[in-house]
Amino acid sequence: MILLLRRSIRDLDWTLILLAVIITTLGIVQIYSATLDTVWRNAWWKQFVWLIAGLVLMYAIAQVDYHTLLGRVPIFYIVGLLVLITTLFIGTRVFGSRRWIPLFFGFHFQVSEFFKLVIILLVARYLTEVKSQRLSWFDLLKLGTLVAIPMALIMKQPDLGTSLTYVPVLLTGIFLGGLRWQHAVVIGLVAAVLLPAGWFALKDYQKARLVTFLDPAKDPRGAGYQVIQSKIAVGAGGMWGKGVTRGTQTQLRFLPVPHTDFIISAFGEEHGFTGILVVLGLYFLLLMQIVQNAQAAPDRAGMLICMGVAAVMLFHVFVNTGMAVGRMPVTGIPLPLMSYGGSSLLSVFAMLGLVNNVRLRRLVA
Amino acid sequence: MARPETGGASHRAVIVGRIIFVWAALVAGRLIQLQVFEHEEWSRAARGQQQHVVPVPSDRGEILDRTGQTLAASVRTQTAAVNPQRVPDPDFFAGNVAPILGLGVPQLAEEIRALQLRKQRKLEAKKNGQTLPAEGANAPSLEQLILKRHLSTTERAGLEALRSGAFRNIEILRDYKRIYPNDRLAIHVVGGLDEDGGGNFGIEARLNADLQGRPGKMRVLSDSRQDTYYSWVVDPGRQGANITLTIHRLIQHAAEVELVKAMAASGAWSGSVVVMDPQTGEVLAMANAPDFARDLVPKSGSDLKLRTNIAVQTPCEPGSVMKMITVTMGLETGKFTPETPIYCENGVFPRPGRRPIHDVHHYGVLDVAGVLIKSSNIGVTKISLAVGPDKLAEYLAKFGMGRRTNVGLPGESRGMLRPREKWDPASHEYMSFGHEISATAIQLARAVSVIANGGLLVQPHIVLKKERLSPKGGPAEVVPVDYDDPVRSITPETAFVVRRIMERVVLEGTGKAARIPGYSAGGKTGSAELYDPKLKRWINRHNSSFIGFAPVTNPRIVVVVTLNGSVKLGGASAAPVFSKVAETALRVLQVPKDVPEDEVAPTGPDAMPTKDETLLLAAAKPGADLPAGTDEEVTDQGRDVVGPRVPDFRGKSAPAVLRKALELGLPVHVSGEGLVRRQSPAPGRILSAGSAVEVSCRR
Repeated sequence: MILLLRRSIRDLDWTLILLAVIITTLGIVQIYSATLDTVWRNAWWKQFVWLIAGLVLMYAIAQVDYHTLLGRVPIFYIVGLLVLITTLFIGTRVFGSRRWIPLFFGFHFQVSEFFKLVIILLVARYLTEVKSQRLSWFDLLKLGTLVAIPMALIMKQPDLGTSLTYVPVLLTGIFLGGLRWQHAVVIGLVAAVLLPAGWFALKDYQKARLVTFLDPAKDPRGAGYQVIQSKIAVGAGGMWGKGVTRGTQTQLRFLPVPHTDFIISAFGEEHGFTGILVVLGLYFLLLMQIVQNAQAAPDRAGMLICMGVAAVMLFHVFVNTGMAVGRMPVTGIPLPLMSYGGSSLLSVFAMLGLVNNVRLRRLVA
Repeated sequence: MARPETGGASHRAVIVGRIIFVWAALVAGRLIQLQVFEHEEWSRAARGQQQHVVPVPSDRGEILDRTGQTLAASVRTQTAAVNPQRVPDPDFFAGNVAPILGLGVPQLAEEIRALQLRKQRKLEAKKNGQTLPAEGANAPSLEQLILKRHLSTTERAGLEALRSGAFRNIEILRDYKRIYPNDRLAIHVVGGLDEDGGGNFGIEARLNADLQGRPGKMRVLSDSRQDTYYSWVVDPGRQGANITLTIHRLIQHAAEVELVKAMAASGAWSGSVVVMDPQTGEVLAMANAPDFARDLVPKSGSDLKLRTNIAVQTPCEPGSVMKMITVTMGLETGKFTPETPIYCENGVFPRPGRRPIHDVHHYGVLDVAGVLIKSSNIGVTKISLAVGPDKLAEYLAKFGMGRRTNVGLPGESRGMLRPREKWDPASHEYMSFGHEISATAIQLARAVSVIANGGLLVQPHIVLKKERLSPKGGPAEVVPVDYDDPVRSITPETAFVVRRIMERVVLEGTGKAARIPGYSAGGKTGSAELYDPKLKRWINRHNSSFIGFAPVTNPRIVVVVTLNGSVKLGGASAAPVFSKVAETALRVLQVPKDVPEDEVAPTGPDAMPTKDETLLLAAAKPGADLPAGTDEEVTDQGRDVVGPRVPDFRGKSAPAVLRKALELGLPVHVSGEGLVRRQSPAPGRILSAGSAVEVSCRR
């Protein structure tokens, strides 16, 4: 038992952990800098506590064989859906007015963050159980429906950004799980038709954000404000940045939520192009490390789990940084590891726990 | 693939890896664009919204008289303003703010709403591509409404309380209030400010740029809620300069008091008095009537005329005072001596094809001195005829006629003097006794100074010095003021001779009322009857004037008195003003008396100065407050006095001595404590110039 414990600690992916801790630490420094003289001035300290909690959670998740976890997926899924439905009522009542700039990661948000894990496991299990190498239309439809139900619930909260993070898990899964090229083309075409139709399903503020993304200068005081301020912050950082706590955009509160959604803009202002490049490099290494683990996975399910995690992480980083530099609409999804927020950080470390879980099993299997 | 379980997935995982790489490259490229190539642009955008340049008002300089008394000063005040576009609920705002400032609640709310409506209209018009009719420069700002200027401390405190609550939009701005400690003294010279704090007449207007300085610039760093974090001065600006005038407060006061009295006595419509140092051209006093109270500065309409500085801006026909120039010309050209006899035609000098020239009194033969003393029009006409019009034009120029003095006050008139080529054939006849020509009082002062100072044309000026205070409290920087050097116009000998003749005008001629007790004086009266062009008749009103100097041997002052619309002639109305003003001025300047004052010495209670005059004059009057008959030297007062007499300080306490000395303007050194036991010089003796009264005390 002790041997097993020691071995399990030794065999963790220390490169992956080191990268995650470095990124989180940079995030903590940036949170400290961005929240000086604000009501959030203790946030960096809380984030540090979340980091420790996250490491513990990661280790704990790595211990239970992921095959066992896959076996419980139906239970996780149903319980998760029930909680989502419950929070839909409670959440609307409590947080109804707090959704524009999500300063608080309310309960509804937490559930959706952790439901990602369920989605990853669900996709992995479903695609592992499919016998054939090539997915049938029925498989795609069934899996798509399973993912779409929680997405719809979360969109109803409303939290479009988080619900969209489930899509890359699904897409990556079916892509790796044997999506036929012909199917891909059909799906692409259907999406092209449905997306404009989906426009009418969007809420007004969501439409505004999309319009703003296309032309931020149109309404600089309103919806475009955040994008413009973010671009100014990043651009003003220049090559080398202005130094920690010296970013005027951040310190003078022009940049909105500089410790959560726009943390990379604040970081870019204070550390410049070089600083941002280092951080992006770290994320790149982190993602490649996860992909590495996927390739070394003992079985198809393990590979799909790791790639699911990579897909979620990639989507987060992609959308968040794209948003900071004005290349993506403002969707309000945090930058994994760096953005302040307990549920976000914990869910990321939980996903890294899944990756380590897979890694630990490769030798046993 | 090594592991069959994963099938083609591993190959597809590599594709996912490549997608990640492409994404990283895309973001990096975008970052290079933003942070490297467009860095300057975005930095400018950041500065643009974080930093604002705000003006730092410079302190407006003071205006002082030559003794350092403040005539105008600025005190810092605060003004409350609001951006009406940032008032969400005008009624709520007005309901809370107006009572504190003593404003009407509905009025304030209405004002705010009106400005909001105008802004809205403007925006709508812009949106629809229309252009609204252009607004004048005086249109109220749509972004700033001045709630109240010069807040009191209670108003300020009330607003601060509101500001820390729901009314962050109230702005408290730095402002200035101009105060005039001597109130209306020299009001036409000192001038005043308009609502915007710029000078609009007098020195306040003329030297506005000097007084105002140049506002500095401050850069402030403010956050998205416009709270200021840091500020630093990028341009310190320039402090306003302190202007010391040549005006002497006490002489000015005397001139104003005497002018007002003379106006009442003569029924004149307006008038002016100028006192000037003939050697330097420094204007010691410049009084105008009618004047107005400080809080009733006329702002518009016909009342604006009241702001006119008559002495500088309004020329009038000088009349007989011009004979001074004609006679001087006759003597200086060598064609006449004071004794040259001139036949004065028994009062009627027939002119070919024109009306004859008349004298008021009829004279036969007068010598040249007599012509000036008796003020014979015919006499001076004959001098002018003998010398010729070209010479007259030359001498008028030598005395500065038709040329601005550049005394340094706004709106100066150059008087009226036609160029020589536009003269009529007979112009020089009428000009010789002051018709067909006009001049301001300051021009006349310059002209009489030529006689008084021995033949030099000086430049009259009103500014003694300009000093700019250093913003950090260092030594004041003196701004150079340039004046023209005196120009020789006539020989000292001629000037001396004319002075002697003009002394006789005062002693035996038309100007007897100008005599000054204790001082010799010279002068010339003038009276030009006014013709009403509407009524087409002479209206028995006069431009009565007197120009003069004192003392005769070495004149220290020239005085010009003009009374417009006087029912009395110059000798009766203007000459007494000269006497009174000159007497005060000479005493203030501590000019030694040069004649016994027995014959005209004022006696009896009527001659006693009134109470408030006493207060003002006490400091200047040597020997004032002397205990009667304490010393035999008192009796020869007026002969050898070169300094103030020392009062009896013995038995008084040190503070009482200091108070008294201050009142009299005496320098005093007090040693010891208790009551004064000894003093030097002794009571009643004269304090020589440059020394101080030594007082020793003991308990």
